[in-house]
Amino acid sequence: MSLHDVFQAMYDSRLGTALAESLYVYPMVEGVHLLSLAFSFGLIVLVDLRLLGIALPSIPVGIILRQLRPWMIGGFAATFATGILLMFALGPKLLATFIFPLKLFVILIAALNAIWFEWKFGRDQDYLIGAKGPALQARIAGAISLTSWSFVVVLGRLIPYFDGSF
Amino acid sequence: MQYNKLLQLALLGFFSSLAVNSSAHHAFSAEFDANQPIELKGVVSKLELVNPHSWLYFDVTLENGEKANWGFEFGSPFSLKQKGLTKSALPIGTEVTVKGYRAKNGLSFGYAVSVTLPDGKSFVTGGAPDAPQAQPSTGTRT
Repeated sequence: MSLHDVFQAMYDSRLGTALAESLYVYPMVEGVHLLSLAFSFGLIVLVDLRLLGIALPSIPVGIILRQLRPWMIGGFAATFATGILLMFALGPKLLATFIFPLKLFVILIAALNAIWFEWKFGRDQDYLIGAKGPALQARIAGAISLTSWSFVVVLGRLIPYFDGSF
Repeated sequence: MQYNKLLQLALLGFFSSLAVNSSAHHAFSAEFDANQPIELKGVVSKLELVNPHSWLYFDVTLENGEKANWGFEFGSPFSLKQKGLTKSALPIGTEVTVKGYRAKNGLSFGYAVSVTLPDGKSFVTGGAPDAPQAQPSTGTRT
């Protein structure tokens, strides 16, 4: 079963058909996909700038992460869920150009980077309370996160521009 | 007073931008050629009434008897319903006359501006904000 077959099956499913033909639900899903970026992408940007030492330098990373994480995860869950629904609604035309597959690939890079950061610094109390000072590896993780998530947003917006069927 | 006016202006701006942006998903001119108006008569073979843009496919019989399948892009299901066009209006086999603009890639595609049913009922569907208005068919145009 190729990727195209998977997308075709999603598009042909009851959920996919209902979303594609809906009058109100599709624009609402699209709206939530964008509005929830305020919490997912917006807070990720803030955290990344903190890791880079640019924003909120007087607040320890651990406190920022602990307080923002529920908002970030909530926002990300909404962005992710509506993204899946949009895949059902749009189907294989998402694969007509390289833009959407590239977006998925960059999401994978961003996710691996986030997992690596959690593994490396998630329990490093010295780093989290700020006793250690800025760590180069954390800065690199922040830069990779900021770059990759920015690309994801831009690539998402580019999807309709490269494909005639939108 | 001053504040009220500002608020009114802001609200007006907000809602008018919603009205425009709802169909501004992509630019008309990126795919279709405003200098190539086209009018075709055919029989509906497929209707994809889907978000964000719908497509109507119909078989056109050429003068030499050959058949060609054409696809025309329409707006979202919501915008078409506002104009009175629903799935039940265009069953497969319906004879339609579609006016619009040809695709720039020269293939059998176009952007629909209006569609006319056999009973003479006509729907102006052109929804892209930068799409030129439909050329009135005067019959004298060469």
